[in-house]
Amino acid sequence: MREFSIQRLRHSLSVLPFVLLLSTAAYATDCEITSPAAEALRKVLSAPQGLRFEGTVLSERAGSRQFIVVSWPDAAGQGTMRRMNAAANPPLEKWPAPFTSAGRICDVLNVYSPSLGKGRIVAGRATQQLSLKPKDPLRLAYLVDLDAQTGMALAMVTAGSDGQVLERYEYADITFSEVGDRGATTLEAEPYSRGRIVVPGYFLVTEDPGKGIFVVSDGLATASVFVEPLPAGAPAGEGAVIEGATLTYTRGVASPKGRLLISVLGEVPVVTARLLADVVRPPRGGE
Amino acid sequence: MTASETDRQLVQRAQRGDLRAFDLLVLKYQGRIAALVSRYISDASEVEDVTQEAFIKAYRALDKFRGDSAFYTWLYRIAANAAKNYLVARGRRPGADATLEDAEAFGDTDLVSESGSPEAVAMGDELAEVVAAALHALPDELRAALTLRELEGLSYDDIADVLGCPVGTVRSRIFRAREAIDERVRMQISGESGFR
Amino acid sequence: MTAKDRDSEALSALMDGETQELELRRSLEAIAGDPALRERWRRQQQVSELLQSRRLSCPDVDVSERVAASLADRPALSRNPLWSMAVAASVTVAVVMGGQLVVPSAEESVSPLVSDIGGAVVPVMGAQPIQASLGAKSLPVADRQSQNMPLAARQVGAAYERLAHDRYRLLNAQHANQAARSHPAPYVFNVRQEIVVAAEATDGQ
Repeated sequence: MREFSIQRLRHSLSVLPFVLLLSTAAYATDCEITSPAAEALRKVLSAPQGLRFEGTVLSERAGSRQFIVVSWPDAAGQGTMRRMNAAANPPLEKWPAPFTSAGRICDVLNVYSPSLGKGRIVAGRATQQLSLKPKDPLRLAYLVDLDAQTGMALAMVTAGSDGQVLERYEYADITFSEVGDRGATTLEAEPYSRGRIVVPGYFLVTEDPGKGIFVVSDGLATASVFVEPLPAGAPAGEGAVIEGATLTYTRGVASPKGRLLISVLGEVPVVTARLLADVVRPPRGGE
Repeated sequence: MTASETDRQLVQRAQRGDLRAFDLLVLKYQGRIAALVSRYISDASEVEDVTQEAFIKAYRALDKFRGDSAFYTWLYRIAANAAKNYLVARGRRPGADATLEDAEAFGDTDLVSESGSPEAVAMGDELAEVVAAALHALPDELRAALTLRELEGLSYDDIADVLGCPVGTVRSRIFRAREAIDERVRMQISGESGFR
Repeated sequence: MTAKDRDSEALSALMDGETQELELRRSLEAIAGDPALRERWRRQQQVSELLQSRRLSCPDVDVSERVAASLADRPALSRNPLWSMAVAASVTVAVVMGGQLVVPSAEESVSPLVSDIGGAVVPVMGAQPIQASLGAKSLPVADRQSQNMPLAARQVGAAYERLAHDRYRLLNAQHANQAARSHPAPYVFNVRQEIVVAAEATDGQ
């Protein structure tokens, strides 16, 4: 029997093929965007396509703050940024274009209730306040200050269901190039991938059972699940830590059908992480 | 090459979480990695910090090492990046680059430059003399076995063929040769400060 | 030949890659128990370098202890692997965990969760406090019920918490790449990752 080592467990990652126990529930894939709140949500999800901007953002999470100089887009259709508190002469980094898809807003509206409120001034610009209340306890809540002119989110708070602020960001300044500069809209964004429902409101984004990983999303929040073998001798158990809005949940499963170590990372509450771990099964025939 | 076999065995054990195996790799390569880092960074304590960081990064990335290149080449790459990142983070520009080709061309031996303090260089020179003298003083059969191993890179089997003796004898002779040299090196070191 | 000589000879063979797995394991055990043997390995590596290149790289640098200390920064875990707790904890864990939990409740003993954030709600400046504006119900989050939980179960939970911490470090970059694309501000996901020199990125556009 191979000796169990916590060191191996902590610093290495093996994979275990898995199967998912999924329901056959399906959501409507079309929806009506009639309310002003839904329209505001559509604008938030569409940004930054069709826009060109530069600005400075303050990001706060897990007790730390970071000013980020951000711009969009570059010639390759990506955003660029520099983290101004991370290093002297910080290097240029890239950030990806968000998913864009007409269907995405329907997925979000299925599980969040949007409502509009009076906005405040952010980065010297008028905003509207969009709150996204989760319709169930399986996701976090969001408060978005969207630019009155472009619809882009200039500030955003991610909160737990008890109202506790988990992380937030806010633009200190932002400059938009001429809105209507359609040169930016021809950039290709990665298509939005929507698979089967895994737990209520969350659908498969990618799945690679051979590599022991699958990713789910509700259109706004994302969780990644990693499956490894649980070493011989390790007891079943679970534990979790939260950094900012990102929860990391680990569960060791020891059953006659197999031994699994399941790790869930995501901007999701612990109950969702547990549900995601619940659907993982060892492959047929054992490990 | 049999020296790579050592690395392969130790890396495999380290990948299974055996820190002792990784420790032996650190002891083996820390001097050469520090020499590389000191091509970017001049301050001695910073060289040590970045050398330490390079090994820690290497350990944490050990899963990704597939053996496509020599372990030392892979480690060299990590250390070079660590040194460059260190400089960038402090607003300094990386200077002349030690290239990967250098590492690969020299195989298990490094592009040994005049790195380190004058005292360290002097220590190295003195020790080189002691080792050379000790090698010269060895009985012929021990010297032959050790030089075929260290300078020609032959395996024990090949040395056994060359010398016309059993592999066990080769192993024993090489060990005794190293013992004799180690005796003199220890005597040399025991009087030195700062060189353990 | 004494045991010490045998260990030293094995070390010499290890240097040349001429040991089998069993002997390698024995050598590692011997070195762990004998600092002099470890020093001998270090010296012999330096002698080998001198024989081959006639120069010695940075003989005064020794970061091995610091590296070892950093990698073993949680000695309680590395020396007390989970399996050693398994014997004592197995029955308790089975009772406490009761298989897979779906939604924790006050009646179920669950492993403690750790939140790094702490603190009270901070209202967004100029806006209504989050609680009032969202009006969401509290999620049943498990509190640390240390006084009610058996020690062994707490130890297992604590070990899994530490594992969660390590998994965050190992896997966060991979997760962030996916999660960024669904977020209105993808750049905030980069903030969670170590800054690296991006070889492809160039200044100016």
